[in-house]
Amino acid sequence: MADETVSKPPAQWTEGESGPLQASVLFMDLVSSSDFASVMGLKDYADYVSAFHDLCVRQTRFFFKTFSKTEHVDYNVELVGDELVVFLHTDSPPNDVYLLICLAVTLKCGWLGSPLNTERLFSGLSSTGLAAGINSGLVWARRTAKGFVKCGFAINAGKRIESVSREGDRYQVFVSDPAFKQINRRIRNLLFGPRRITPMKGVVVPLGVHELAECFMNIGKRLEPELLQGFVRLGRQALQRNTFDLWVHTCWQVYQASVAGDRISDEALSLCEHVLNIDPTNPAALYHAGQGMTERNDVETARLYYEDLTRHWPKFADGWLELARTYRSLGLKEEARRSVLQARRRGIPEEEFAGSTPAS
Amino acid sequence: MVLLRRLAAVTLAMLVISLGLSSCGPKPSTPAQPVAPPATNAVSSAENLQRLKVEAERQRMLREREGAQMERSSAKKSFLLEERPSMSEPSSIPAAPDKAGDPLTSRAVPDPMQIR
Repeated sequence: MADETVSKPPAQWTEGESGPLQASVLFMDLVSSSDFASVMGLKDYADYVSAFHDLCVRQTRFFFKTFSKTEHVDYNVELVGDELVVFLHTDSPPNDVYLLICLAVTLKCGWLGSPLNTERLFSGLSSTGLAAGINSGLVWARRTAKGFVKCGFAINAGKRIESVSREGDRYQVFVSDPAFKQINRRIRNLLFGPRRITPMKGVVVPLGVHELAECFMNIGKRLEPELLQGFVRLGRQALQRNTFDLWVHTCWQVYQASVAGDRISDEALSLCEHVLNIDPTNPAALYHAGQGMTERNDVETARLYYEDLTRHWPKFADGWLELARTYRSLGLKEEARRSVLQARRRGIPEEEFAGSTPAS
Repeated sequence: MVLLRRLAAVTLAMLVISLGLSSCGPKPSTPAQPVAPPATNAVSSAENLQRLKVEAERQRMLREREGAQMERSSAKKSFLLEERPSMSEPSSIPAAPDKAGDPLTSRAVPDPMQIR
């Protein structure tokens, strides 16, 4: 039975069938929820967790509907206490991992605008956050009337990865080695930190993890409209309170650029400069500052931003591409050629080099 | 009795004389301020002025240093609370050119909804 089902797409499994299933799993949790539980009243804490559940249900439904995924067939959502678990098992494991990363970021944005965080931010406190762990691997599955019952080490490891994700200092979204391999070099809008090995309870074989370091994903296309409004309303407020939650800046910046027709407004440019005062290597701030300067015909300054960007983030293909275009506009042919080569070897297709290669 | 009157008159006369003499005499000297000759006085003023300038400069530097330290220490909490001068003043930046047909205009990082 197992051999028959392993090659089948999940949608074709009939009730009662069981076997290995390639699945991606997202564990998402409220950061410091135990601390809150220990100091909040029973009712207050119940409301706190209930708000998280409400967010998860609304956003996961909206998110997967956008991608035409079917609940219980393509994905499953489980809420256990203060934890969200999402399984995604379509016929494209790389896309499953990518979607779970995007879902995790949208949930973080949605949570920022939750009633509790609104109250905290307007009281001058920092917002509470979410941390996530994502893994990909084979699990043993059995098809039931309500979906798949799954079991396997990949799930346990996913939970452990989520536990260590609180140690992150950027997005607090950690991706395991197997999940990272599914998407590495396939995507240009995500940047990851260096691989790290962290001891995990119950995980004997060392498992490497990578923190999501930057995400040029437009939440405007993926976040449920009301939650999006909450994020837009509170994004700037949160940046004033949560100084080092710079993922808020990136999400805000990418969204604002999209609604402004891919242009960098004066406000957005000013915000880039503020962020660079705190984190001079911030990829989104460098990228958007370079773009803003280019739009204002200050190409020399744009060049400085892009040179910083490619120096600190040499794997960021679009940084090289923009640097090549900047060099070209400055008439620096050799520098433009070298940057094009860098962009090309990092996966930029040939057709995108129009306007960046030096005229021969 | 007469003798007594004469003695009182003499005593009174001597008292009046002694009071008169003390009020006309030199006043007890108070510690006088040293008075320098005109040339020396000018040099001293210049030195004082210079000293004041140095002190003012030192105070200004101290204030700046303290301000910088406070800024660094509070940067974690308030970097966005206060409006800092922009690295590039908007007024000095020419308006962004029309995007259409402009080879310099950058693009957003490609953001696929799904990947293959």
